Amino acid sequence: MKSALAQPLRQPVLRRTLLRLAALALASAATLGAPCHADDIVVIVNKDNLNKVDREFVIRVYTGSIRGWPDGSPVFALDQPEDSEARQLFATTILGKSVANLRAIWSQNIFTGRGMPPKVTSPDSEMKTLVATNRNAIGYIRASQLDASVRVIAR
Amino acid sequence: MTIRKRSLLFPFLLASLLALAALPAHSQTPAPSIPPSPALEFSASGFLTATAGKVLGGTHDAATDGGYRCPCFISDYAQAGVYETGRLRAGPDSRLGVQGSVMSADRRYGATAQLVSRGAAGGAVNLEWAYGVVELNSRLTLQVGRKRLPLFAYSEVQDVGLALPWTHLPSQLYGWEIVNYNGANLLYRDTWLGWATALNVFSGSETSRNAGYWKIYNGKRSRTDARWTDILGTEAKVSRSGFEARYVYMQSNTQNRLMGEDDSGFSERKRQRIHGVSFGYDQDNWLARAELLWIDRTADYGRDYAQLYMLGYRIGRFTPLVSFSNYKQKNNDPTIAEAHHTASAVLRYDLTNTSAVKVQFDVWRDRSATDFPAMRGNSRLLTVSYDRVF
Repeated sequence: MKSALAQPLRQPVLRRTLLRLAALALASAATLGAPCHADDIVVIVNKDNLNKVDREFVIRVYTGSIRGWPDGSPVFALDQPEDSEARQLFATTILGKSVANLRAIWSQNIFTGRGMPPKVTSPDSEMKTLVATNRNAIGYIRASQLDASVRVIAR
Repeated sequence: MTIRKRSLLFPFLLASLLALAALPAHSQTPAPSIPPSPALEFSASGFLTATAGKVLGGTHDAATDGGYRCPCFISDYAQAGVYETGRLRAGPDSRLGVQGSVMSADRRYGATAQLVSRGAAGGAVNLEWAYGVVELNSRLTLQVGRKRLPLFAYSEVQDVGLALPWTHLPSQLYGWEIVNYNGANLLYRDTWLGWATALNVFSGSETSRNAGYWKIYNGKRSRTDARWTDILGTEAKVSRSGFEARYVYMQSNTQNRLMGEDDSGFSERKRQRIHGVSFGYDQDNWLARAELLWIDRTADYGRDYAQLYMLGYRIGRFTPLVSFSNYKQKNNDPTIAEAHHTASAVLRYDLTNTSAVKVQFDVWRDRSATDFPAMRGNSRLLTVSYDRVF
């Protein structure tokens, strides 16, 4: 005897509906507007900043290899304190580097005159406020702190 | 460079500061909501490398050791960093540097000076970097003053141990008589076709008094001045997703003079042309680099060829890596051609985000021609270093 639970899946209309819902859920997860885990890090920019950038751009800014937005305006990069959990997560999940490795990279930049590291601010709310009020700013916060005042460019 | 001997430095600094004052204010000032910053931002930072090393064995040619106690391992030609046989030695690779910078609040104008004390120089303090900087826009940077010559991939950062994979850079590539210059450079950074791109042009000159490099060739007690004039060079670097490719070209005139009883002044100017190509990968756990060098000094003695290969893998805070570097000279007189290579194994451990310890084992093999007249022989070296930035 077939189980009562399995029986509805054989009904074409309901199965199509469930498949569509599943597809919609997958598509949503791939978009920037998708809800995400509270501990995830999102990279944010000002809502008026219309430059199209990706994760590679974020890596270049936070390793000092570029200093300007695609439209030529200077990047105002913000960082969280070195011992903060948010910075650890940002370094490993977004930049693909350890904090120690980043420190070594910025040591090169500092001691060779190629640039100064991003300005440090904290906590998430302060960084979000700075990004929301400065057109050239870029920063990162926990996804749980995200609201409509800023635009997400990477996560 | 010893401070008291470098009077040309100050005109450069003065010119850069005048340039700072003459340029208009930046139009892209931070929004009013950013907390107000002081008009000038001062910062100080530094680096420390404390290294101890011991020559574990090798071969010795008493006729060519130049007064060094060999078997010897040359870790830094430019500073005459030589590990001699016998007791544990801390001098050749240990150094302490402090850097002070002053920048405008928008970080567009600034000036930087760096003092370095080296064990290889008996702890003497030298001014090695001193330059003014102007960010002309978000892509163009002008620097004027005294800087490191950007000859090879790690040249500019060769003193900052924390930024290096090794306890000391492979001598086969990083071993020349001049490492700094007084002059100017213009750096352009942008994104082209999806690649982060940096183009740098530089020009200047340098005279190295009592050059460490020449002590290795002319003898430990010798005194030789080296001079590179009409330096003109360019470097181009592209990077993407952890991959990096770099090309450098530099040309200059070279001269030297061996100080002695019959001081005859600097030798005749000889032209040199340097080409360098480097490929690197550093992303997630892997780091790798290949670097190739070709120098044309046909007007002097011949041509130099050098290669470096390095591969490492990060395992948590540990980074084990191996490298091989090779130098071969094509001398106008083949009987005195210099040639050698070094194989190295390194284990790095990041103590904190700002400090690391490394253990390195090197094997140097001499392949010079039979009549090569300077320091020669094989050697094995073990070094332990502590690196820190602050």
